[in-house]
Amino acid sequence: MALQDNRTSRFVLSAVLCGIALSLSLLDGAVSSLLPLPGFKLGLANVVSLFALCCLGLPWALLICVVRSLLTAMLSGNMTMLFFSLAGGVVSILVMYLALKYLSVIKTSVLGGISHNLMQLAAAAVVTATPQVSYYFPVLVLTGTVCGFFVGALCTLVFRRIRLPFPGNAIKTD
Amino acid sequence: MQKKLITKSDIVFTVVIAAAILLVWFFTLPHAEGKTVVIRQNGEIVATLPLAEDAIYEVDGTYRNVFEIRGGSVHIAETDCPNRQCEKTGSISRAGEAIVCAPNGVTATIAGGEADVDGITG
Repeated sequence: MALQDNRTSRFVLSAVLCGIALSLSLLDGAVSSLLPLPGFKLGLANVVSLFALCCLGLPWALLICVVRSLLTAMLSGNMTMLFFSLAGGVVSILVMYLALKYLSVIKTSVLGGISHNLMQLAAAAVVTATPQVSYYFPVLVLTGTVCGFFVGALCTLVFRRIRLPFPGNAIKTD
Repeated sequence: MQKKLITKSDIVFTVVIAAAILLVWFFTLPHAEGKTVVIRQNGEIVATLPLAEDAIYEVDGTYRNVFEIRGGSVHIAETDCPNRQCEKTGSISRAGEAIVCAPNGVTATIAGGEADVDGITG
């Protein structure tokens, strides 16, 4: 069954992706809180961002990220973190959009993980006006690299198993 | 035969980045023991306390952060922030280390023990 490429099917697909991203973010929050690293996240929702970038394009990926961040903030009752997740999410999607043009999915995901963590740390340093926060940057960039690698591998696996809808727009994924 | 899931270049790419960060980390690791803890709220210094004296300091904002200085190091004893990242940071005592409660805009940084501290606090 081929999915028709029109506005409605794109809209429906992004709604489904939003739901998946939301549940992945909540799962991520639960798993990450078990580790004694402040600010640490696996970045599971990045799978959805990469998928959206590859088959829907940049505007849809950004839209999904914004809606997902809003919903996560509402559900976890922590609106103050919205600014941080938006800053990290939007910047990492822009970085991954550029990286996808030249690099493999795994490399893109590594860069996405790093930029996400860097941006969140930068946002924290600006909001609290404490530049010393940057001492923590190697820890977050390192975890971002390692998690990004595995998230990228997971993504490659997803792309193998699922036939991409709207293949006409798909960026090469190998 | 299907292409490999993870290529050699992916591994090299990741390892090189990780190694570079480890190198930076190794050289920026705070070593010197600190002398005072500087607590800021939304960028303004609200307290500067000596690490040598045991004390409890409370910051009220959107949320509450209770700092406890004990045995030369400082940690968050209590908070009602749902994020709880500041609690997870644990105890800090070396110059340059920091505890951050981003939702509350509160930070605690360790000063002293290094020459450039005046530049930071002044």
